[in-house]
Amino acid sequence: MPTSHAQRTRPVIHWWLSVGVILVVLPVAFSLTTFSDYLTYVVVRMMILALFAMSFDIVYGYAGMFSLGHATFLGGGAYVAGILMRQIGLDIQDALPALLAAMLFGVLMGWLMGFLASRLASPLAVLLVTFAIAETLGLLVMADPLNITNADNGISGIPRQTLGWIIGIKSEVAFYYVVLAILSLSFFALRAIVRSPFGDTLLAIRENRQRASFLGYRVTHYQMAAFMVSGFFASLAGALTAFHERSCSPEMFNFFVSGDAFIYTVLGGSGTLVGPLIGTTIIITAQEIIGDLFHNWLFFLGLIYIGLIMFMPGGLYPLVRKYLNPVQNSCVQDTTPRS
Amino acid sequence: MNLTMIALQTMNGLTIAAIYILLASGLTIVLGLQGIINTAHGFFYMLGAYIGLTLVSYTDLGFWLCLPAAFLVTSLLGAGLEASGIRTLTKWNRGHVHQVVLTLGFAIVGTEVVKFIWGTVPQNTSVPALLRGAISLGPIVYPKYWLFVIGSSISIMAALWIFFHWTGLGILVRSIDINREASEALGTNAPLLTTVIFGLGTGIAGVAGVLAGPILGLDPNMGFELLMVLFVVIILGGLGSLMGTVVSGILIGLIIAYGTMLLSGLAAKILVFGVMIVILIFRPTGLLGRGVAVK
Amino acid sequence: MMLTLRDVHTYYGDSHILQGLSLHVNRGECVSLLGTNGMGKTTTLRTVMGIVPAGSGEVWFNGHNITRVAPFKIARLGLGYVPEDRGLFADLTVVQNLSVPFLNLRGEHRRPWSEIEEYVYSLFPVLGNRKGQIAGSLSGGEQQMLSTARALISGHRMILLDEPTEGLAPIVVENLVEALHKLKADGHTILLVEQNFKTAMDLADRGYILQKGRILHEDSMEHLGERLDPLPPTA
Repeated sequence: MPTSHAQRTRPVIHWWLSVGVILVVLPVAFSLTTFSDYLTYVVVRMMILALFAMSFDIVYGYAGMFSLGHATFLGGGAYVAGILMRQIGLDIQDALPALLAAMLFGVLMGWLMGFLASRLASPLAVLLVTFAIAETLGLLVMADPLNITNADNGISGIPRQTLGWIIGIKSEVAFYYVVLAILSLSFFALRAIVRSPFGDTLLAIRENRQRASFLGYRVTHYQMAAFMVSGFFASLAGALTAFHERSCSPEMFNFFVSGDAFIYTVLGGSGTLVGPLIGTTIIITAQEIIGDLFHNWLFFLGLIYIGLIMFMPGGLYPLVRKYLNPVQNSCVQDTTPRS
Repeated sequence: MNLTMIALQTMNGLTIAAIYILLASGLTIVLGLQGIINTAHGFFYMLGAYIGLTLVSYTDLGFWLCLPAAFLVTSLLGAGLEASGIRTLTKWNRGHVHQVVLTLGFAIVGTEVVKFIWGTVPQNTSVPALLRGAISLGPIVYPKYWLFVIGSSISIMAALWIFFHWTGLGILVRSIDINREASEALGTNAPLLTTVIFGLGTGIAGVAGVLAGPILGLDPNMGFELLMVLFVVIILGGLGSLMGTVVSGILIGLIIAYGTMLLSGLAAKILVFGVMIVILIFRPTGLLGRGVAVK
Repeated sequence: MMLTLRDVHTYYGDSHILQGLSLHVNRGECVSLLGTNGMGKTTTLRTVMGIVPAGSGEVWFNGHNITRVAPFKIARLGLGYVPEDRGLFADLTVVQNLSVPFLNLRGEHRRPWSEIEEYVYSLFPVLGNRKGQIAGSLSGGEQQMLSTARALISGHRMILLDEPTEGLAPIVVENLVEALHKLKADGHTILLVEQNFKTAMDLADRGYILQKGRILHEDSMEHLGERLDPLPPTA
């Protein structure tokens, strides 16, 4: 059972506050350095991918299904935004319709994936099917049958002017705060979802699918709903990526993208929501540093995969929580899905 | 388009299918026995191709030498991966998904090592002298080497079938597949045999890599790219069934060949994935075999 | 002594099934484990076989410490196991099922196949007529005989039988019990889990009553029969 709000002790609130303050003042601190734009850019990327990883955690950590097709949502969300803003001559300058459309797309794709995945009892079959969907969408984007995705080249020059016709998001710093706000809202929304009876049922299904169905839960409906919730937020992250990079490309459907969501989540600790935030921060930081020093990020990424799965499948957050809340040690449960 | 074109594309489809079937058989044996999908399978295929490239560029005899050499290297490496990593995870009672992720990590690291040794530029290997040229087959003239690939695939699949149905070792492996606990209680050294079979699977992948090199060319991503099609082949075949793999391998090979001729290479691939998704909606157990739903 | 368990504790996840169980089986003896369902009889056999390793305590078989040893190594010491669900390889033929333990015989225990075949078919003549049949298509009694025959090939020193007569017609039970009597006469050591007290009484020399993962009583079958008297003798 997730820790209830009343049980949380003071140090945790302090911790949360300090993270919030740091995130708010970070752009100011960056502006004092000589490569402020680059740093802001990286942290925005980190926040968007953290949102992506959190959405993955709903399906993996809570519903206990291993999706290797979450790139569907990231790439799909980005392309929905790119197509609306750039390809079909609507001449919308505001980002809001694109974000909404991406989220709608996410829910629909989530429904499709959930429908297929929930029909398959084997976790491996779920993995293969989700993977195939991402792959198919990536190929469709490259084939470009409707002439709207610009084939191999992807879409570039996506405008980023305003959000909701009021908030300007043109500058890197303004966009930073918008993404920070979206990430925070999404985090609290997702936390409310996983702490609701719906979230408890998902956990029950993850622990024992058969028992849950004997108890009268319609397992497939819950699994589909988990995919839809996940698709909603993941596609939002995709649309934000399109605005952040001002472009999107077929590589966004690559299975390394789906794999990244897994690694961020598992490193931080799956089934915790906070874990993906921690994991994303660490991996993106490592990627920037190692990528710069050795020009061979993938090699290290592979080693991270092996090291994590062999020696730390529970992730970091359970350890952090133990340190912060020694009193609650007995309540901390193993949140690693066993599927 | 005429009959000759169709005959030619059918042969092309069968040649590709020959390679798919070899690869998918290794994948599906391991899947049936251990319940895991070896995502490093594509890596072993790629490694086999590069071993072929290296040996062929020395002597003309190289090609004949590199079939066993590639088998040896990739099967030992695969057995090592099983014995050191996957078996440990099994001992720690981890789920199959963890084992899949482990093989994925291994594949990523391995691919980077291959890039480091052989470079990232796509390369080509040549066909051995004995198999150069073409043979006339009724209306079409077909390269000897491509026929050789089809023949090799048939021989290896026949050997596998004989192994599983007519040898003691094969019977033991099947008994593990059906009921591991009962088999072990009758004295079967299941951990060892599992490692051996894993190595056999990756070894066949290595051989498939050598065979495919002169036809499909070499680049470090060839494994990952092919893996996606292989997933479709084994899902359609009904995860874990050898016969199903053969049928679905031929089906997918032909879809890709005809699709490429009528539409484009990209469209053919989309068609393949589309077919799989549609089949899974209406028949979650795949076309043949024990199926996705139960395993 | 053929088999000895000393203060064995076994766990399935969080549940503590065997709670300090000790028992022994002498060479050539047939010992029966009695008790109602859920008392740990099957777990006892699975622990001996190494399928569920003991959490603590010791298991000795024919002078070897087999606590937490891999099941296949235990089997190769000459211990056979007939699980409750019979554990047949349903897609394989009768001969192929029998060949699995045969192929695993090592060293001095290696006997020619013809000798093994002759022994098995003399014990269970029905199997001789079903050699090429797929095990999954056999009748319940034939499946039980195949499973027992298989266990005898690997278990040349001793066999563990889990509910061999469960779900079988009385006439089939008679055949099976007859075969088990032959085994006893040959000097085979048997540890038998049996719900049907009459059958157990017929076969066993000595019995243990299990309750909540511990031995409640150990006695000759006659005395145990008196103790169990208030309970219905046959289930």
